[in-house]
Amino acid sequence: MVRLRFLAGLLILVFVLAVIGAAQAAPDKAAAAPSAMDLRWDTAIWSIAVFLFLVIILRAKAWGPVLEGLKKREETIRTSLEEAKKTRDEMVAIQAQFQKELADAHQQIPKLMEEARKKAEEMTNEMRAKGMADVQVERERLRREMDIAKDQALKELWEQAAMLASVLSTKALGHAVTADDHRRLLGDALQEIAHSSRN
Amino acid sequence: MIFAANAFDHVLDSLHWHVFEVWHWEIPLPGVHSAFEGKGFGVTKYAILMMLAAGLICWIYIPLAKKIQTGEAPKGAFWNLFESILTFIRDDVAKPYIGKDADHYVHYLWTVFLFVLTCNLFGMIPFLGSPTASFAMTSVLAAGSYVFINVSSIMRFGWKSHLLSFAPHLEMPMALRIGISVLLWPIEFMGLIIKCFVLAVRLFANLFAGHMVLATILLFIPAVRGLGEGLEWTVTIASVLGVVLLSMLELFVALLQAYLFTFLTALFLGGVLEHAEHYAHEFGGDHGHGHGHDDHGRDHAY
Repeated sequence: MVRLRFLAGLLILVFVLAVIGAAQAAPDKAAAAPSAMDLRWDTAIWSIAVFLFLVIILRAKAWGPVLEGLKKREETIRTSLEEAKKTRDEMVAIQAQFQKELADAHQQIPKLMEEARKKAEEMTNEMRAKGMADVQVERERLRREMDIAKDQALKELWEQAAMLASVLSTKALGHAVTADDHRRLLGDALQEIAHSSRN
Repeated sequence: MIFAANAFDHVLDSLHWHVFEVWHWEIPLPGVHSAFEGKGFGVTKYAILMMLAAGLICWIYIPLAKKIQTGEAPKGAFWNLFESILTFIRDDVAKPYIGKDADHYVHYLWTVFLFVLTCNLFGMIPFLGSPTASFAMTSVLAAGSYVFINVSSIMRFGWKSHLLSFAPHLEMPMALRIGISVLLWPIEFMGLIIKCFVLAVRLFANLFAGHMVLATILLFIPAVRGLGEGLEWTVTIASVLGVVLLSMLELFVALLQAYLFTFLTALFLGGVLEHAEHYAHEFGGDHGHGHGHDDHGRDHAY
């Protein structure tokens, strides 16, 4: 690196000396009249000085930060583009998935409707059957209660009738009826009542 | 003859700052006026203009660099304008013709472009002048480019590869190749010097000729003084109109020549680096690994 810097310095030195040499040689040739191609050596030296100053100062103070900023911006743009592309790809995939699901849903609608209709029908039938069963159970219960009430009423009626018969028989016979008479009369009355009720 | 000499004096560098040549209004500048056959030696008009140009560039770009360093998007006309010049040189000149390593060398291209452009544009401002209309100044810039190209190649690929880069690539038997290379090497070596010399001549000739034409057209006005009022007015109006129109052309020339100087420097550098890299790989040099060069456009430009 040192060798190369020395070489660069040497080249610059050779170049400066060559320009100065040319500039110094020129006035002798062009003493009579000015020429456009005359090399003014003061202009040449000022040019070297100003241009070298400009190269060095701009490289040190301006171009480094400019390149850094431009590269940073390029990186930002590159990253943003990649992110945008990735997001776009994701969006395309999501959209495709959505479209697929939508198409599936469209295909499932008639099936779902049919299932719902069947379920509704099943539920209706079930409820109807349950209602009928409930009504039947209630009807049975009422019939049983009516039978019980009827039997009770008949029993009471028979007992009342037996009682009346006993009273009547006592009055008709004029004497007290014994327990055996009672039993006999009651048995006869019950047989008649039972016979008449069957008829 | 007086009028011709004045036009010439107007464009050449001197130790006098001419304000109105016709009335001999001029500001003497510090220096030894009698030195070198009366041409003098000192702080010339163009030296002051070059310092002004360098100061202006530093004044604009050093603060701007701090803004650009943040990596944020440019805001405002000022930032956009001056940054776009840099990005143009980097993206459209350096990268296509130097390649992936363009950022190593773009510093010089930015500097030379801005310096040449500013000096060229100074010539469009009344009472100033264009330092690039001086052959001494353009020679220094061209020599700077020559040194920059060689030093860049040597530092990147070493002496051996750099010197071999002037030999042509030939697919033929080694003996024949060496023989032809020995013959062509001096031509190629001189070729780079000549190309850089032509850079100096091209820039100088365009700017010098342009300013000579403008000065000559304007000096028609004092040349017809006393030849009749009608003629004076006619020549004055025609001269002013002509100068305005030609100034527009000069503005374009100023931009074009600054671009050409930078573009050709990048092109020559790209060519030398490419050849040096080729030899560095061929002969197993220590340098040049991992430095790709984009060949886009280079062959066409040659």
